Amino acid sequence: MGALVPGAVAAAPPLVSPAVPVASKPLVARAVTSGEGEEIVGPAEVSRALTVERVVIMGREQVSARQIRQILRAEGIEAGEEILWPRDERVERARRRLRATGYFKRVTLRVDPVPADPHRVVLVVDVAERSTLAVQRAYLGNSKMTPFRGGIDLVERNFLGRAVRLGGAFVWSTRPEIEKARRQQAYEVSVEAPRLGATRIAPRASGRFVSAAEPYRVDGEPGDPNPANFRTFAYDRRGGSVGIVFHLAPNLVLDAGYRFERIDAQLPSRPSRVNPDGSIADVDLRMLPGRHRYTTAGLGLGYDNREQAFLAGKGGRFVLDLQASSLGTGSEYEFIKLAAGGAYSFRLPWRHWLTPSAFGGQISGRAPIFERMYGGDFSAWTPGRELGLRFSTRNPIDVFGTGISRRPYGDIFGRFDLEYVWPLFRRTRTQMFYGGDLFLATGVFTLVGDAAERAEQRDAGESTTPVGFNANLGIRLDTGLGTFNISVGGVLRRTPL
Amino acid sequence: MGVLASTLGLARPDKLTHRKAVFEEIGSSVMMTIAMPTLFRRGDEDALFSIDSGWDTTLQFTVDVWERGSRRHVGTRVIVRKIRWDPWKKKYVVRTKGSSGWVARTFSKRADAIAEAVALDRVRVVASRDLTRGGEAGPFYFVTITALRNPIEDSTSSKPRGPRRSGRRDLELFGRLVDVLAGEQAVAEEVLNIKTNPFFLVPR
Repeated sequence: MGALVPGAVAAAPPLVSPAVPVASKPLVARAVTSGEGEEIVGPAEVSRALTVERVVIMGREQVSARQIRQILRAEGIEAGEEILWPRDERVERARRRLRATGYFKRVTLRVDPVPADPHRVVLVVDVAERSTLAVQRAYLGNSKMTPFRGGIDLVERNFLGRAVRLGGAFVWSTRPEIEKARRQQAYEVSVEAPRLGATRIAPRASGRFVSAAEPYRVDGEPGDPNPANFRTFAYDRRGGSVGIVFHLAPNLVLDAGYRFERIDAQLPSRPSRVNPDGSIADVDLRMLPGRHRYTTAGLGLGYDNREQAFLAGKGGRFVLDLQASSLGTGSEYEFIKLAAGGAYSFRLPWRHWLTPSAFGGQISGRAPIFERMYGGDFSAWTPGRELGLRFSTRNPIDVFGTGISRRPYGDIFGRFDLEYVWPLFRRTRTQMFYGGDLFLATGVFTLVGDAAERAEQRDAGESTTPVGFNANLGIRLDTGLGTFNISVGGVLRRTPL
Repeated sequence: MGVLASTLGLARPDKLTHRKAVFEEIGSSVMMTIAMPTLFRRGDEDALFSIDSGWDTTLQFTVDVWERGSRRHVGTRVIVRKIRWDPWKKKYVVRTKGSSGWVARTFSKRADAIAEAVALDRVRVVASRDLTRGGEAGPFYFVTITALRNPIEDSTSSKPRGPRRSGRRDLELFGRLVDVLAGEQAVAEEVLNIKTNPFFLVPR
């Protein structure tokens, strides 16, 4: 026999079909016994109703038996109840729900017959736990200002087997390459309890310590990131927050909280900068001097129906955050900060995803500098703040020539992005890697100063609403330890350009 | 009478794993024989424990026949198979849903039961009349198989339910707004996508 298709002559094997019209294995025998490999033909198997004698949980280490039994009970599976064998929808659902918690790498619901009674079984829930520790973010990079910074943000999703989320994060840096600057570091712990009993309320609390060396320009062109053109001022923040999360609906939460901090700022006596034309201008550091109080009352609203997106092929997410700081909240700052964002994903006919997103916000009043909008937070290529600390003097790249590289901070921002996602693989949550996506994102953003800054910019003939360009390409891995982005932007952000 | 089979790669879709199958024409049907042992990987405790649990482990094979080159879809067929340990009879049972009901086979050894479950042995993939007899001049056809172990049919899997709020109120929260927004749910505990070697019908 010869090859079948031009171009594949060498690889083509001989024809293998004997082309004999023999009947396949006889499928008509109706055996009544079940010997080795013997076939039995009949209608769909009749289910047997079995009574659960007891439920035994095996292999549990950190996840509490109460959590497992709660899921089983939700499906009506407990001692004394009847289940159908060999197939019961409730058992399948319970197994899937247990797997979906992300706590286990293996979940098996096994039936063990009770020798004395053919109608009773022991239901064995055999699990193998996986770590419930997740990496939220990893901080690592260097810049011309800070030779090294590193840290990590971890969360234990099932602390003490009570579904309590306990988080901890820190970032630490070497001494900045700026005269008289000190090392920067920040530490944060947070705890979020599950819903209290049958209520829709869950309390949360956090604490943080930040030791900052905030850079401010004293010389050079406004867009020049050379650290020699900067000085720093030091401040410490110590405090925390308490709040209550209201689960209004399965996909809707309202968060009300109160933040309290003591700030200790060591400001230079009269900060000033030398402009390129040789003139000297005062610098507004946006920070009160000495030891003072900073508190906010906040309200957040979050809607998330991404789960529906997976099923229906479309879905969105919306987040709104409002903070108010005034004498009424016990603060020495007075401002209101509002930020809101939304994203909508939909699946394309070829099963890739497109997600347009938009968000924006404004500060009204005089917020401390760490609450102002920072340009690096909007650009994928530029180092953003990490745990509230700024480790770079580099501003976003001015692709459109509108002056965005000259504006590190602003009080108004807007951003629009479009993300294209190509799902590479998707696996169940018992595996180490749940999924992988290739993503391509592009967008624009703007950062606008307060009234005084805008007046100054108008006088200088500059745009008050500079527009920045954003783009990123990378792989997103959804893993048992968290979600990791490996992207071009991630490399650029961590590189001392 | 007669069907020809050959191994000729390079046919689309490219992302599928190539696996050799044997095609035969028996009567008025084209039958296929192929094995997919990787549906149960040796070290996959979850899969093996699932079989031993006494509950059904479901395998679903979606078999599609395509014309090579034009990618014309010729036909499709879904084969459902179940494998489980029967703790009362102390036997492994492999059942296949056929036109006349469920065909069951029993085994003492799990390995034998798995081998039976993951093999499609002379299953009908398409009627001969739906194909063109062109001999070595073509047209050529190939089969793609999507094999699912324990297909997931409802929304209880994948992501934990409900949004999470963080106590952190800064732009990092918004920066992550889009993260992991797009993505797809796993459709089964194990998924195999296979493309077979092409075949053609011999002219009569």
